[in-house]
Amino acid sequence: MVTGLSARTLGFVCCNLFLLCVAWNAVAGDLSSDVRKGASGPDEGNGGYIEAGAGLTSYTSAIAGVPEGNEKGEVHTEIFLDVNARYQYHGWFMELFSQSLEQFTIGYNFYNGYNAYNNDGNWALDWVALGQHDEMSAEEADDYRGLDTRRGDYMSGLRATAYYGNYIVQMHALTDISRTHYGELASLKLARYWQHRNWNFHGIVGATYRSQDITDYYFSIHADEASAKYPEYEAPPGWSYVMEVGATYPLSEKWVFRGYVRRTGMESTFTASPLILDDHGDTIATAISYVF
Amino acid sequence: MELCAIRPRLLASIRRHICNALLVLLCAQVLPVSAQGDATITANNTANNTADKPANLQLKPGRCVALHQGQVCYQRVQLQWRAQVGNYCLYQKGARHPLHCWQNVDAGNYVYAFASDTSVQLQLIDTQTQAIVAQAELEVAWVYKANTRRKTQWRLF
Repeated sequence: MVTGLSARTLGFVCCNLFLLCVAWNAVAGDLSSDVRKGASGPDEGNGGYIEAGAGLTSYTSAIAGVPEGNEKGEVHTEIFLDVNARYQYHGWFMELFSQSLEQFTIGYNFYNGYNAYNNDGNWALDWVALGQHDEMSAEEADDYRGLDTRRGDYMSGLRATAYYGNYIVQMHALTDISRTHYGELASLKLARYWQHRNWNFHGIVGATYRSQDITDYYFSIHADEASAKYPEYEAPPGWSYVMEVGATYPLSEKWVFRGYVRRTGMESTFTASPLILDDHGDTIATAISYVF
Repeated sequence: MELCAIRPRLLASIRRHICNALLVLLCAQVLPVSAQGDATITANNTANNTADKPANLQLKPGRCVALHQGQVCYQRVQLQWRAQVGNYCLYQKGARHPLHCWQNVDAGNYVYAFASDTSVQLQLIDTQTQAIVAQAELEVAWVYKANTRRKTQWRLF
């Protein structure tokens, strides 16, 4: 998503910005961030980095109310704040990457596997906690007026990341820890990067499975909230997918250009939900950021 | 998450809190970066030069920037040199074969297609005396430095 930062985590992020400024060596973790850098292994050292910049995006959204008043196929264009940051200390880390597929993440890196032949770090196991679904309420968008509030969640679990040459594979297995929907989520993503001169091109494909606890909570319309606009509907568990290609270029030692095109989609069964307008959404975005 | 595409309300919230400070920060950084883009390296003078006409070797740009430490950096570098009239060859330090040679001239230009994952020294050598007339470094830099690695696998706090 163009912004992986939720409002409820903003305060926490700001309070820790000074920590992110104390060390400058790059570190690895988030798949979207690593593949754009051309990272070849997990990070285990203390330190971090922070980047900030601005970007422009055009997108279509499959979700009613995202953004407010959204209609099927409607193209939205916005300027966005591009913030990328990571800090790690004795295994504990927090990471935020505006163009990531994930939101602001905190976690603990407790295992790093090594290639037996060259002793090079090539995979990592982390415990992570992050928000996965945002609040859907009349306060957030008028589209949800008359519907029960769907609270934003916070999920936690295992993240496994493997690095093999120019490939990165990342898996999440998460459960709700916010007592929002009590659901489970599992995702698998494969990323690859190619260097052409000083350009770094990347591609990502991935799939995410959501249990019915999640899909029911966010996309079902229960009898007590049903209306002509939102008829009763029961969402099944199901899959969503993501495909992305992009490019990153170092304008200088401190300035980085990034751009990507992304399609996010879901099983056609979901489109029966009155809250889902289409079976996919597309995003194109470019950003320039400064690496502190 | 993939299902929830872009959330403009969050963008607005972020902008409200951070945008002013960020703009100031970005503006403050523009000038140093522009200067870096025009940077050149002036050669060290060594032997065979007179005080009134010192030899020099200039590289534009003098730095090649790749994304991540360890990646090969690619850069077209404009070299300009000036010395006393003579026969000269341009070498990458440690290389057997010259990049280019000039006969009976006091100045020269060369476009060098640089590709390396380490910084290199370029040397202008007088072919008669084999003396290094001038040299300059083409520096390789990265936006993202390599990670520090530990050798332990499991850890608990």
